[in-house]
Formats: sequence, structure tokens, C-alpha cells
Amino acid sequence: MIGIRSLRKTFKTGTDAAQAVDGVDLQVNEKEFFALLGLSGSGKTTLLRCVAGLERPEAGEIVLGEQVVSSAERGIFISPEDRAIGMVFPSYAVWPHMTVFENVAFPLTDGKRKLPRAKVRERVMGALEMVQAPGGNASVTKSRVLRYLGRSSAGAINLPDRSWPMPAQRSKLSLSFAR
Amino acid sequence: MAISGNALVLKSRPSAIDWSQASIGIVAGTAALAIVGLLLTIVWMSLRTGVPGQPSPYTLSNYASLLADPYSYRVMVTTLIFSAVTIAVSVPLGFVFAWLIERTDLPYKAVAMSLLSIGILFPTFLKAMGWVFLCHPRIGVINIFLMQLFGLKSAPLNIATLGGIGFVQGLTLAPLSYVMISAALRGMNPALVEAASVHGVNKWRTLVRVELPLVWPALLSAIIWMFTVAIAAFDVPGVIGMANNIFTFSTAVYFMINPNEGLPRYGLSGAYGTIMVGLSLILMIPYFIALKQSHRYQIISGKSYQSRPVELGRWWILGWGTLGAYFLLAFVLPLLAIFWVSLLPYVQVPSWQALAAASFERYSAIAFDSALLQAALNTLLLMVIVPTLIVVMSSAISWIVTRSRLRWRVALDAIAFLPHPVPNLLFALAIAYFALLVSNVIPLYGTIFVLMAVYVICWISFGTRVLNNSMIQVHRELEEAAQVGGVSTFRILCKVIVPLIRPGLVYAWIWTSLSAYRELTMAVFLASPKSQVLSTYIWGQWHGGGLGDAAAIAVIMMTVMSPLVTSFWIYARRQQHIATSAA
Repeated sequence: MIGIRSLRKTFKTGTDAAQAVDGVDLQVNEKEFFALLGLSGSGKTTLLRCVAGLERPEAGEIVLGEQVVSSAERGIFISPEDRAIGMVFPSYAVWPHMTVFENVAFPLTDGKRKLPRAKVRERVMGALEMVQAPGGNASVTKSRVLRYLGRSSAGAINLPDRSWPMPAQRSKLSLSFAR
Repeated sequence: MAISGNALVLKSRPSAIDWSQASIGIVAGTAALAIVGLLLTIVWMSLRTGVPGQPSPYTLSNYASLLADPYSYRVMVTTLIFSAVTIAVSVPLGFVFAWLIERTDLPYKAVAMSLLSIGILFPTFLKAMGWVFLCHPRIGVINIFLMQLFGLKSAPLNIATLGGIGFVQGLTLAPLSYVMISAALRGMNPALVEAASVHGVNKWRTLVRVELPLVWPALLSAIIWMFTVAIAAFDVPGVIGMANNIFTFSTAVYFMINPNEGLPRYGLSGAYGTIMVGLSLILMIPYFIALKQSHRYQIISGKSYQSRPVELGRWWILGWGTLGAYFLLAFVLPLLAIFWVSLLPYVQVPSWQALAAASFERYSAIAFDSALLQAALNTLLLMVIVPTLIVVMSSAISWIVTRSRLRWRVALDAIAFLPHPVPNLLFALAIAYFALLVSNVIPLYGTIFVLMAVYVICWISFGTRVLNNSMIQVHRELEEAAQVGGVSTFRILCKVIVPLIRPGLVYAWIWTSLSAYRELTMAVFLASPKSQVLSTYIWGQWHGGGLGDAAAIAVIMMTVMSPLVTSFWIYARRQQHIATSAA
């Protein structure tokens, strides 16, 4: 469950201030699929980043599951590494120097919620099978891989920050399993 | 809409230190402290008299004696004239080369570009030695030749003059000025020039009324930069000027610390140093103003079309003639002169008799000299350890400067940058003073470790320039994705950022390693019999009268260096650190 109450985030540059999120109240329940639509510049990405912990809002509260992860009034802020979420970034954020396997496995091998190696392999292969990415040199649709990147970590909550994928815009990404 | 009142409140752990981030901060902080500490030591030094460790009241007497002594003014004027000649030689040359390579269709550009880019690395003091062998009034080969040919009574060319050393220094700095100016020319928006030609303005007028005004801020920043380099220069004034009683700021300070008689005058050198620090910092103000202005005229987008190059036609001969003449004067002649002298028992004009006397005897005589081998070993040690430390510390600093949101990251960047404009010999001076001060407690003075430390401290300024540039190009979201995946900051630095900036890391490593090889200025202030390096060994020979031996070691040094520099050049070209084409 994601709960957002009276969230406000402003970006200041010199004397100008851009009000990206201004008093947003939102609740997304378990197993619910929620889509945020809006014009570019309306604050969608900023809202998602606040939920992920990459931006620190100056007012309002965010609750993930049972845990208050951010509250400006109460001085609470849990850093992104400690929040149990997965996120797909606008730029895809695929690590170009790692293989497909390493990309998907990275949170499990190096994150704070590490798993033993055998389990990692199991999890990652399971996730990749869902995407139908065979071994060897595979062309995998970027968006597909990343939709399931979030799922491979222990995250219960998934934040794909991508516009609704238009067929023409799907890009093919060639990564190999072995280096 | 109300949030369920049962929501668990788990405070983030305010008392737990994020060791991951702290470790990066500690490394960066140590470097910054060292830089600032050494600078403050210079000021502190200037306020005391006597030998380090000797109790002394704080006094302005050093400044008083500096201001009262006509010698100080002579040194200042000498330095100014020297710098002026250096700029007058290096900047026009750099501009011509940059224009030829970036703006015309000169054939075989890549060769010229590579030679100029790598030319910066060759040891300056070796070139200076070569010029002594060429144009010194008493022993210069060219002079002897001309005197014999024309039956002259006195030498027509004299390199041991202020103009002479300015000329040599200018030649050695021309590649640096080329690199700076060509970057400016490359970034210039071609549309501005083409708009002029579309409106019927002829090429010459366009150059004067459009191109020159657009490029002058970059030119000015290059001139100011050259000036800071020139006033700090030691190699050329040290090799040519000192023995002939010409003292610039750097050699004057050296002489104060290594006098023929009496005790080293640390206090006075501190006063000179403090003034120099102030001057170089003040010079940074117009430098950054000019730089900012030049950026306004640059292309905003990364890759833009390049304007049609000027067709040289048969003028390419003049173009390559200029380049050829430069390479001849700056590299070929002096290095050949050194090689020639190393083969002879005493300096002679090339002739058949001289050829008969030529042999490799010197080389076999010095080859297994234990002092020389120790110097070579020390140099190797420096070449491996110094760049490694620099790369590690620069990574930490650059990460904080480019990736963190810490408020004082701009100050950190400024501190890391300081050793660029501030003469490096002052850092060496300060660390020597400091080492003497603590010599009872920590036996650092006269060891190779002081040298190591000051090289690292000064060249972090270079490392951070390279790595700032590299790190900025890594998309922020690559880090954030890892963060969201739960990876700690230190791990992100090691497993995400470092692999992606590897070309920059390798480039910085190799460049600083080669710099450690060629460095004379800082070494000369710190070397002791126990901690010689190749450059100081040659320096010792040179000033001890062993010109021929100095020449022989110089040849060995260059022979060993050439494959290193060549492989670096190949690597840098492949990694596009040196542009492979002007387009």
C-alpha cells in the first residue's frame, strides 16, 4: 500500500522556484495497478522519486506498506537503499558494463537485502524466464527487462516510470549473458 | 483521505553513520586538508625567521627585507619579462597550429595533432639542456660552427639571455597553448561565421570582424594560464639561467634555500612564496571571467556540424613548413644536440675528426653507477605509487563534487584546483619546511615519501579535472537505480561508476605517471642524497660540471620514455582523449 498525504516538493534555482508537487493526496491499495497521467512537467516523475526516496519533500507524508518512510513534519526520512521498492527509470538505467544477468541480479548481489548465490540465480533466472530471455546473446526489449528488474529484488512495490509504451518506440537492447 | 492510524513509524537511524559515504568523505577531506595545510604553511613560514624548529616570534621582517631589497624588484622584473617572451612565443604558435589543424584542410593533420599533444610530456629540462649545447656563447655547437664559418670573434647567438630562455620556454609551452586554443576553436559556433559569408563578407573580414572577436575570450584565458605557468616555471630558468646569473622567481627561491654560503633563508622564501600565491590566485579572477565569456560563444549542443574548412591549396607547404620548423627547433635539434654531446669527451662541432672521437664510452662508464640505479629505482617507485594514490583520491573528490548534494562541494572543487595556478614549487617548499619541523618525531625529511606526498597533493588538481569530466557523463539514473536497489554508496562508486569511467581513470593514471617521470621542479627542492630521482641526478651532474654525463643519462631517459609515451599516445587516440580528426 502506498499512502501519500499533502505532499509538497519545490525546486529552487536562485530566486526562481518551481512547484513540482503541490499538496498531493493519494492512496494506492495492495495488488492495485495505478497509472499517473499528465502533461510533461506536471510532476509525475517528481512524485515517483519522492516515493522512492530520491527527492526529499518539504511537506507531507509518505507511507509504504506499514511504514512511514518520509514525513517532513516529524523529521522522518528513510533513504532509498532502505525502502523496499523497485523502480524503472525514464532513461532505463541499464548498466552498460554488466551483462543481462548481472543487471537483474545487482540488487540481490550487492544490495542491502542480499541473497545467497544459489537463491540469486534462481530468482534471476525466474524473472528472466518471465520475460522469455534465453541464454547466450539475446535481444531483449528494454522495457520488458526493466519491468521485471524491480520484481527480482525483494520489492513489494513497483514503480515503473515510463510513458505507456508505444509499439514504435520499443527499443531493442542487445546484452549478452556471458561477457 | 486519511492514512490508517496504525501505520508503524520507523525512524531512519539518525545515530548510525553511513560508513560508506564517510569513507569517501575522509579520503577527500584528507586531500583537501593537505592542500590547504601546505598553503598555510607558506604563509606561516613567511612570518618567522631562522631555521625551522628554532623558536621565533611572529614578524613581518621578511616582507620588510623583501620590499627594501632592490634584488627582489630585479627578480620580479626578470620574471615578468621572461613570462612576456614566453607568451609572445607560445601563444601565437599555438594559435597558428590550432587554426591550421581545426580550420583548414591541412594534409596529414592527425600526425601534427598527435605530435603536439604528446609533446607536452617530454621533459622540459632536457630540451633546455639541448639548447645550451646548441646556442650557448661558449659551448654552443651552432655558435662554434658559425664562428668558424664566418671567422667571427664572438658568438652570434646567445641562449643564455632573458630573451633566450623566454624563447626556449615558449617553445616548450606551445603544445599546451595549442591544446587550449584548439579546444576553443573547435567549440566555436560555425553558424556565426557562415552567416557572415552568406551575407557576402569576404574571408579576411570575417576573420577579423567575426572569428577573432568570438575567440578572444578563449585566447585571453589561454594567455592568463600561460602566464601562471611561466611565472612558476623552473626547468628552463634553472638549467640555462641560473649558471648565467639570470634569476626568475622560481630559481631565486631555489637559490635562497640552497645558497652557496650561509643558512637557507626559509622566512624570506616564504615571503616571496606568499606574494606569489596571492598573485596567482588574483590572476584566476580574470581567467574565470574570460573562460565564462568564451563559453557563451560556444555551441550548446554536443555534436554540431563543422564549417567548411579553409582550402589551403598550395599554401599547405607553408603550413607544414611552420609545423616542421617548430618540431625541428623544439624537439629534433635539442635532442640531437644532447645525443651528439653524449658521444664525445668534450663539446665539438660535428666534423669528421669529431666523428672519429665519438664513442659510447660514457654510457658504459655510467651504466652501473649505483647512485644512478638507485635514482632510477626511486623514479620507478614514484611512477607506480603516485598515480595510484592520485586516482583514488581524485575519484573520491570528483564523486563528491559531481554527484553529491553537499553544500561545500564547490569549495572542495576549488581547493582541489588550487595547485594548478599556485606554483608547485611552493608546495614542495612548504612540505620541506614541515618535514624539517617534525624531523625529530617523524623522520620524513630527505626521504622519497615527501616527494611522493607532494606529487600526489599537487596533481590531484589534474586528476580531478579529468575525472570531473568523466563522472559528469555518467547518467545520474544509473546510480539512482542502484540506490533504489539497495546498494550502498561505496559499492555504487566501485561497481557502477568506476567501471564506467575507466578510460578517464587510466588516462589520468598514465599521464600522472609520466609526469612523475619528467618532474624536476618539485624534486629539486626535496631531493637529498638518499632520495634522488633521475631528473635530480641529471641536475646534479649538470651543475657539477659533468655536462657530458648529464647528456648521456638524458639520452637513456628519453630512450626509455619513448615506448611509454608512444603506447600512451596509441591508447589515448583510441579512447578519443586526443581527437583523431578535427571533424
